[in-house]
Amino acid sequence: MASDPPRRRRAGLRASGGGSTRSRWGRRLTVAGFVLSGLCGVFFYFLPVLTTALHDTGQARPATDPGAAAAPAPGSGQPFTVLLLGSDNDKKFVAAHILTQTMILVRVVPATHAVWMLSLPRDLWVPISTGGSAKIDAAYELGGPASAIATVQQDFHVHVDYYAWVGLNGLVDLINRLGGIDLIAQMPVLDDFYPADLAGGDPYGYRRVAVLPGPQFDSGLLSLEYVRSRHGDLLGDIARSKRQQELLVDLRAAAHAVSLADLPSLISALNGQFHTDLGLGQVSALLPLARGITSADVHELVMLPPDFSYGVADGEDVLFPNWSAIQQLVARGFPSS
Amino acid sequence: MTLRRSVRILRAGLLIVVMGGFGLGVWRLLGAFQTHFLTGVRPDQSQALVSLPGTVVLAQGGTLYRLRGESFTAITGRSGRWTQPTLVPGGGLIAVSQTIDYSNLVQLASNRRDRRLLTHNAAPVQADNHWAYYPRVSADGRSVFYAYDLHDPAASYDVTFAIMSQPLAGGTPTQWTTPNPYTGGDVQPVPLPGGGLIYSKWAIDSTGHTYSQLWLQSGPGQLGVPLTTPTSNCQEPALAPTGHLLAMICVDARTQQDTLAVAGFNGHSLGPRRTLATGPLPASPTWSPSGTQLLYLAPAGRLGPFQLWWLRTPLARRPGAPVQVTSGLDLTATSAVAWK
Repeated sequence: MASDPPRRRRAGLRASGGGSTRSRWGRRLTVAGFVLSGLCGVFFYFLPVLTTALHDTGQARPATDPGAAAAPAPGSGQPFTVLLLGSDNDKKFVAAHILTQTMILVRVVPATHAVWMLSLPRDLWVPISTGGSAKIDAAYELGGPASAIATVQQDFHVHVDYYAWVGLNGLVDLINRLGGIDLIAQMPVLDDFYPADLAGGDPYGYRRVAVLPGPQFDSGLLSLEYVRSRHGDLLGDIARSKRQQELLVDLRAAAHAVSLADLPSLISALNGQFHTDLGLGQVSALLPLARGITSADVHELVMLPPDFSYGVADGEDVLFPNWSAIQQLVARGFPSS
Repeated sequence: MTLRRSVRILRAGLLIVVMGGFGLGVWRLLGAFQTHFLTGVRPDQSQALVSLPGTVVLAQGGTLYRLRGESFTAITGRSGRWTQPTLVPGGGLIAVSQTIDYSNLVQLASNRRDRRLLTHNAAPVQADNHWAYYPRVSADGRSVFYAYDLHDPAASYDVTFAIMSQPLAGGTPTQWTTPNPYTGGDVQPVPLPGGGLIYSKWAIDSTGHTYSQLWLQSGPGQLGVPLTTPTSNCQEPALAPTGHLLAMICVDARTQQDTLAVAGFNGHSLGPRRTLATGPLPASPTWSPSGTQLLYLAPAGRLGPFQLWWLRTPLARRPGAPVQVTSGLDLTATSAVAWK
């Protein structure tokens, strides 16, 4: 009995020592649990970005120019050229075979913040990289991004580092997620034959649109009407290209307000309506770059007669290129490849 | 023993729940860092930042609101189709009621109940519909001027605005201007007290450059004269009630920036232009009834929806800074306010 108290003390010490170890492990487990839980929160918040990164960005670069040097990363400070493609990807077309009614070459020179934009008229009758000649907007339909890039490279002698494709719905949703966009409509845009595919739900129907001129804050749908309408304009498709370039400048201005936390929401808007061979990191590197560019840094180039002449090919109204005039225009902003 | 174990399980369970809550909290915290893009609250759920003299009628989201003091009151239903209010001498308003395919001018009496359709632009066939925008009542209060889309029967794609006038009491419209085809045309009429008209005319030059000019015309079908140059790219004229000052918006198409400017008007030509506001994006100026103050619309920050701004002394040698009148709204920038 006399030895009982020390034994109990030892036993107690052992017990408290074991308890302390358990408690230490318990604390570690608790901290690890909180860290894991927090990481899960971060993971699920950025899940749309990750999903898009896996599906839509970093698309395999089409093998169009095997001998060319690797494309400079947008964050590296080196100039780079992006081919922007836009499609009326409505119900009239099979998803994998759509025309690119919008084709804009963009050259960014980070050192000087200069941006050059050149719209390629969709009706331009050019040799297609996959063979034969067609309107340039058919290059994507015939061979996807690889064909569109190769066609532009071979016909305009410009090296394309990256491409990005966006569908109409994606553009509308993106602008709506931004709350709207400030723009100055450069003229009244009236069109009695505007496609009723998005607002009217009829891919083959028409509706009337009237976009009033002047400064305004527009929804995605109204912005689209402004840049997509072409019938009521003397320059038709060319004028539309100019308005599309203006919208890009306005979107760049809107990017000033965007933060990293906005990415999931904005990326969700582009779900299935956007793909590019730029990696997610490279897309992110474009945001600060866009913030540093002012309107005065942006140089817009548009093809007008005598860069082309009007004519008919394969029973369609087309624009026949005047290559020597076009090369002079291209050389103003894009180095020859 | 069983009790201690149960307590332990309960504690572990609670801890897991708290951890889950923590993860959810992180998720929500990240969401809190999102940019809050302004979408615009309803004016009648808001208050003006300052009290303006008189009463102002403005448009947002297809509803017309009256601003008196610091309070807004909706004066039309929230059908989402009302815009461009203008005052009728003697009381009441004329405003545009628009739908997806056409728009009409509607006269709204002061009692807000009586309405009269001034144009009849709806048609059973879609292509026969018409637009009517930018109503302005002549100084004598007898006719209304507006922009109306003409259809060229020979060229179905050419839909272009021309300026029309018609008696307010009813009668046949008269075409005043001949727009340049495929340019958008002529809009924003300002009837002059002496019977002439100032308006914005659009054109496209040989290099494909689109521009607007203010034009002066003495009568229907008469040959007009430009008041501004193509390079100044001016539009949205607003004549002071005195008739000797013209406010306007001039756009630099290259930089996508614009300015609010004012110039003297002697009945035939404009004097030198003086810039009153350089941005961002000033739009749709309106003079006060006394002709000494100006209201215009512009975003509150660098970008975003349009708010109402007030220039108290635009005619002073050194006009004071513009005063922001509204905050958090999304006013229709293509709809000049009416001020009485």
